[in-house]
Amino acid sequence: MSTDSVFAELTKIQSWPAVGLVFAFCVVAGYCWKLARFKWFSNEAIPPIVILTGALAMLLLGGDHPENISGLVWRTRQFIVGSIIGFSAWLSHALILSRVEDYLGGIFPPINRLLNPKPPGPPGGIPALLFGFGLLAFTGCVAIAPGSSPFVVNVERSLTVGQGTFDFVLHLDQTDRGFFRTNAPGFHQFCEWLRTPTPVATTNAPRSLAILINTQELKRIYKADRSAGNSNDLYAAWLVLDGAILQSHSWSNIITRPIH
Amino acid sequence: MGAPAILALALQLLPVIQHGVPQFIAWLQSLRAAAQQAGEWTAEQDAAFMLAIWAKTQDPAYQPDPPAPPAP
Repeated sequence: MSTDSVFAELTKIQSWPAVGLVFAFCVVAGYCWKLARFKWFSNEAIPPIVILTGALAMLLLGGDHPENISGLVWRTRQFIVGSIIGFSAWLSHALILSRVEDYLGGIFPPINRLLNPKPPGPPGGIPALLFGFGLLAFTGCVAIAPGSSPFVVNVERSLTVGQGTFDFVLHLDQTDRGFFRTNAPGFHQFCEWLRTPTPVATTNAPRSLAILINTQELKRIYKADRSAGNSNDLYAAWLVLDGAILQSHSWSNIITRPIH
Repeated sequence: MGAPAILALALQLLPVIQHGVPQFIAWLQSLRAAAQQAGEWTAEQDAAFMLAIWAKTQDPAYQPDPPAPPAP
């Protein structure tokens, strides 16, 4: 590992988008606050500090406002976006990074002493609950419009979530397949299962996409003829899709848990 | 393990973080889009979804590992 390669990796940070930079900066700011251990300010102040940091950083990095939006609206928008990114950074620490800390603290005692991690709690728990509430607060579930089939709308919601989830999991593994193959073989094997060529529509497609295509095709058939047979077929395909999404979420959780 | 090992691990994780954060945000956006969907997709949305899915078949992230070379 040469010095040049270290600097080459660090230089890549300059090409990060503003959102990624603010997110990373919030995480760094949170750690700085935690390590400083201010006696007059408890660690419980970290979440609002991180959220405020994200809001201010986004204000600075947001750039000039477009001509069709007033400056005040643009700055307010950047402030809100930054707050959400700061909140996401804090959630990421609570849900993922704290577990990585525990894991690394078990391997490297100096890190353990530095961060003084708490004993791992039960899986899920309050952070997961907060994450759920936070997600609901920022997304807001809407009621299904009159005239729309709840069955079809919910299948389409699963298609949207499935597309995003498979993308997230497979691209995460794609960043360094060798790393995950060695350090998280179960996760990598699951990704390979999602990638397995599967027959669909007279050709082969990765299993994850084949599941989406199959569900979408059966949904199209069901919308054209809402018979019981077509409904059963679509429901069966929907179960397969939801099962794959649930497994993807489970693996995302498992690979971020410490191994003691 | 010493500081070089920690630095090497951090460098190994850097691309994972660099690519993982935008993907994580994209995943959150997909959840948001799903939660905000009120009605059935139009024919155009159906077609756009299928186009996006078929386009992903060429995405390297969706391609399986190449078969391992035969043992000597």
